[in-house]
Amino acid sequence: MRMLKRVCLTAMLLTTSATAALAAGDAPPVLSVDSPYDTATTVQRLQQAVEARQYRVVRVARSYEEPGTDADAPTVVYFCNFALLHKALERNKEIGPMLPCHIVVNREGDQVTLYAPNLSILAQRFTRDDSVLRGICDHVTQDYKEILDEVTL
Amino acid sequence: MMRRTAATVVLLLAMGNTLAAEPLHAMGASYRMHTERPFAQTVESVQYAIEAAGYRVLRMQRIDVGLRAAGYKTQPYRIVFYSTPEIREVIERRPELSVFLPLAIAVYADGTTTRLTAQTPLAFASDTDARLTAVAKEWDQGVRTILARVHAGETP
Repeated sequence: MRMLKRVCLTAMLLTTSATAALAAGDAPPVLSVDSPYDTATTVQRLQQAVEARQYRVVRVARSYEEPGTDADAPTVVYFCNFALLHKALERNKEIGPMLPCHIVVNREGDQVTLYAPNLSILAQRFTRDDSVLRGICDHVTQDYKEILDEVTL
Repeated sequence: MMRRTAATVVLLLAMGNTLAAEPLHAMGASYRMHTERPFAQTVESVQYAIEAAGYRVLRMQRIDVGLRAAGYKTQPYRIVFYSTPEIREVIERRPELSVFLPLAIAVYADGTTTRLTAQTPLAFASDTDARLTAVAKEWDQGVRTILARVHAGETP
């Protein structure tokens, strides 16, 4: 496994740290699946699949907002299971930039594709020494996979 | 004073930051800082610093409000999402990066301390896409500048 050199710089102002790289052959950091539906139908099915798994859709937004080009921007469906969220933040509040749960619906030409973060991989620096948080991330990642499967049926 | 502070931050980070430019694999890396300034003032400072950096605040996710509404106790916790001029270009080049965009800074209270954390955009850098790497470095510098301004306590 290739390892990024981990440097912890404690400074008066802030610290940064690097995380380990993935081993060759590990799961991808981003889950993706092509949708057989158009964007609007995909987003609708996505919201339904999310809510069927005890999450609540908290916001549907665009990845960017530029006058005149919004129609091309990917749609992001943000959702939350507050019990899991509370539990995760109790373990480590630094996971904030990965929140809330979300799946992106992006149209590339005639193809609509869904993208979701693979938290089991991306949160490794937080979960390496925390089996509880790792369990939460694995649980959410599994939910993501099932949601993607259901949306694209 | 601001320029000296930012320069000091950049220097300190340059001394210690050895993140490799492996696409997506370093996505878990983040910048962290804390301040003794009140939470609300810090959130305002983050928004001001984002705008001062030439970016645009898109929205703020009130994580704490949602948790309290669901019946959980929590200290203040907000995520500030912001847009940069290059987001559209990056997504067109690498659609899978859309899951990490828009960029965001989390601000949360920890007792009397206010803490911030932000993912480093350097993780977007690519061995095969020089333009993407250039944008990643520019965004990364932007994050550092924003955090430096927040630390300096700049507000409108």
